[in-house]
Amino acid sequence: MDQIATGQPLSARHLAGEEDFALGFATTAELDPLSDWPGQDRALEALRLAAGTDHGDFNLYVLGTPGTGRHSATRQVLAEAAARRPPPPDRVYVNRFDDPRRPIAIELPPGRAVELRDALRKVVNDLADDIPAIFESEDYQTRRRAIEDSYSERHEQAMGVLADAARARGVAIVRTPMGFGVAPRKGDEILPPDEYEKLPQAERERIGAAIDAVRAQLEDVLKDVPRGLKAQRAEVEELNIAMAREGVDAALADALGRFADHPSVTRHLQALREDLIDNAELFLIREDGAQAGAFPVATSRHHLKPQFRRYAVNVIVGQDPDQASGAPVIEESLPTLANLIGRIEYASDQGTLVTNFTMIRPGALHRANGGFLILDAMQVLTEPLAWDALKRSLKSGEVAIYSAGERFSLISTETLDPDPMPLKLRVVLVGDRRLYYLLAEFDPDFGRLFKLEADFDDRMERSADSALLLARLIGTMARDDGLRPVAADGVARLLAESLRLADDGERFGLNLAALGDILREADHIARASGADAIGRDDVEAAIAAADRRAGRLRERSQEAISRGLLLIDTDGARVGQVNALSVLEIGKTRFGRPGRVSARVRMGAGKLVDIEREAELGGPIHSKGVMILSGYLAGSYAPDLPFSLWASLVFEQSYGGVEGDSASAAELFALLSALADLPIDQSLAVTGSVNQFGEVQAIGGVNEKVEGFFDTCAARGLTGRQGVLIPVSNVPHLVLRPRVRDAMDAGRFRVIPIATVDEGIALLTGRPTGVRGGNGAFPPDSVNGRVEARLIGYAEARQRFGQKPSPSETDG
Amino acid sequence: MSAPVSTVRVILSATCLAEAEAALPLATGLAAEAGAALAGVLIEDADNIALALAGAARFVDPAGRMLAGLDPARMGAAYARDAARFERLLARAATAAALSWSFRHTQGRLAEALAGIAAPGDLLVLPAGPMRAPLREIVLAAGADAALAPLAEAAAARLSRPLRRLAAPDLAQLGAGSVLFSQFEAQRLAALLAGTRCIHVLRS
Repeated sequence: MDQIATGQPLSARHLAGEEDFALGFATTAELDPLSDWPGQDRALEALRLAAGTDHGDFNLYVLGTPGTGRHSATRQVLAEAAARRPPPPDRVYVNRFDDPRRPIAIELPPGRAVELRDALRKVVNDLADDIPAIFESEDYQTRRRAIEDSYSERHEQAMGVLADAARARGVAIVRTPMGFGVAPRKGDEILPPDEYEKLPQAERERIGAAIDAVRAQLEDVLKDVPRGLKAQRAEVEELNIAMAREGVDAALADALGRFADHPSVTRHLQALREDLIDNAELFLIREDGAQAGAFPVATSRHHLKPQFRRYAVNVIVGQDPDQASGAPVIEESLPTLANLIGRIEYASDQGTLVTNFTMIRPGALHRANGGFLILDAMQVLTEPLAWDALKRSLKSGEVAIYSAGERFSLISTETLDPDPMPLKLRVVLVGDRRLYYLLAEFDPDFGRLFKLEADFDDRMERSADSALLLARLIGTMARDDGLRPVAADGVARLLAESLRLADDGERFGLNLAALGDILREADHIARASGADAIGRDDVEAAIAAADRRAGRLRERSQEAISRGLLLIDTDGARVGQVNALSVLEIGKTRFGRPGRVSARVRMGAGKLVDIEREAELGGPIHSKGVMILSGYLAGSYAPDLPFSLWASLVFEQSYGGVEGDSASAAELFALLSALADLPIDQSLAVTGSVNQFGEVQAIGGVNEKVEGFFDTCAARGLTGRQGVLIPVSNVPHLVLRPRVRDAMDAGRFRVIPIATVDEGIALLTGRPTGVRGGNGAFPPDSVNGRVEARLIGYAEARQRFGQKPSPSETDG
Repeated sequence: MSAPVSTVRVILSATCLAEAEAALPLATGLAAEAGAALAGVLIEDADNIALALAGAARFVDPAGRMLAGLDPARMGAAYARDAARFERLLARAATAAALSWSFRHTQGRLAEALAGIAAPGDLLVLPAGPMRAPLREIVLAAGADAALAPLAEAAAARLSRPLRRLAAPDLAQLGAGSVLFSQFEAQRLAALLAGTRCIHVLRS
């Protein structure tokens, strides 16, 4: 780039543009794919450290501007690291038989959770067939009958002996609704009471004694019945347990053998064995009535029956043993509390909510355990309790499942308290910078738990190498998205647009999403025209179309100027009036717009009135800029006299807020024009801030501002005199649209860099600024001379007003 | 030789609910097998009522505790309760087996009452008196009505119990777990009931 001369119009060769890129290829099809992210070395280094280290708390926050490749880079780096890691263990929940409220967590080698689940399903299915068969077997029936018979025979024999003894003693035992009756007998029948009364006293006493004896024995026999039944039940129970034990041991032998080297599983299988034996009757429940259904339950799926859920294995994390490789990389797009730490589901049973360990569902922390979890920072922070739960899990190194309702004591139904599962994973939060700094400032846990930051840059220094890297990236994006290759001139146009996105001719913008959008739209245009590659015109058309789509407000603004609703002069000269430039940014729309700044002056007490601030339309930075003007004026002119100026400054027809100091140079020029009473050339517009020494400083949005004034002038007809004064330090930032560059090349529009206020006011008024001579005074006809003269005049006038009137004047 | 009369009713007679409950499944099974109606008879035995008046008689409840202060009114009330429950149980069992049923609550001496109720073709089921035992065997007395044999065989198969055919059963040897299928003889009924402890199925 040539040396920049201030005060002179720039030519297009001074500006960054697509012409700068000499790319040595025809299309991107010739380029090697790029799997990296150019310009993001710092962020990628942090990502790789987070992915590679095993240290706890080296969790990562990926920050940067959206579109800079944060997500894709994070995914790829983590996926590569995960592939090199061993697969994490499987994890299951099983029933704690002595306290079902507290399910047991068990860790298994990868792929064995499903094996355990299937093994226990088989145990249940087998027992559902075997146990009924055992209890219906001839062997069991015989043994049980033998027990029952032994007790009933004992009772029967006792009753028989008693009945014989009673008969021998002339006493009958009969059954009545009230129980047993013992009475004197006569032959085969009861002795009628009247006959009994006629018997001799001695005979009645003998019979009475016999009756009492039989009655006492009968009482003993009957009292022995419950004891016998109890003993019989106990003996049958023992038989049942012995028979069930045989079946259970046979069914469990295979599972016990396969998991013999896993103590926690073995412990569970032993507890399960005891429970199966104790509750063998569960396998004897017959499905009768409505539940039986029209078709019998498949014999191989007994484990689905509700009574056998207690023996199930709830696989929380299970892997296919044939496909298990590498650690997981989980991305949870909806990180609610339940989606993070898992949840306990409930079912309605006769109006009551019930649950069990099979209704525990895993969360993202379970699924990512042993690997990586990618979360959107904003999502985690805005989901109730999610951030708290994430921090709690990372701090404790385990995942405990609870619900929000439980946390706030909103539910009172019976719930579970499952064993927490050990947690070892790397959490990667992806978010914007502001959130990162807020967390770092206000959450003391954040810095401890997220020790790493991957800061994705949004710009990259421009060089031949970086241009080629970006070209390869563009080629890779086209290839990955199934687009046409991009021709060299198309790449050059995209690179120029990348500079434009960075607002800097010396830096490439790294908003890959924006470049990708342009690329896809250009491919669409190229396809319509039947081109094999995306060319420069396709890219240009895509950019222009995007500008047009977003250009409604810009067009309305220009329309207001061209219709005279917004007063902007683009020719002629006016005192105390200058064209300033501002940038409006609404959504994706960003455009420059000229506005008129005017100044009025008179004698006063050194007050510079910023009407924007007085009307509370000006922001603090704008007010600061205006105050700097006072410093410049006071220090530059008539330093020996009181500053006796009253001046007002305003953005004409501005009804919204004004912020920033980029108009302070324009305000100063309006002020100087008013003080010097010299008109300002209205074909020029000004942008830039000033300091107290009169140096013009860089501002933002220079491209949009220049283009905004250009469009206004172009709508009225370019005269060749029109142009924009910009800070010379902004020249490297100029990446102007082709229409402006073309006009500059043709001498129909000017962009003039300035370094000082003096340069600017000279260009605007067409008068020399003037420097102090040997006598310390400015040349009288110079701008500065006229300004100083005016200020001296104000000071003297003020002094006169301040003098006491002479006696002659007062006496009249 | 006349053709065997088909079974019209299976009559389950009892003097209390406990007896009826024990023999109800057997009676229901026989009725279903024979395609007969199921009839229940609770006989309020005069001897039992008389017991309540006899100063020498003693009563012991099923749990082995002596009962005092019994009178005919309490005994009558107990019979009424047993009759009501017997009828309910009988109705439920008959309905479940799709049998028609009837119930009667009568008074008198057992043997005389049964003789009055039984008609040709009826099958009387008489419980085993005060003795209680699980069913162990089915005994078919030789010379019984030809219609009894298939019923005895069916009962043995249904209850999974052995069937014995005895030419001259020694009644004293048959315990409360035996079910004896034989011919009904009204004049010998009292002696039969007094001299045996088994369940009787008598063909009238």
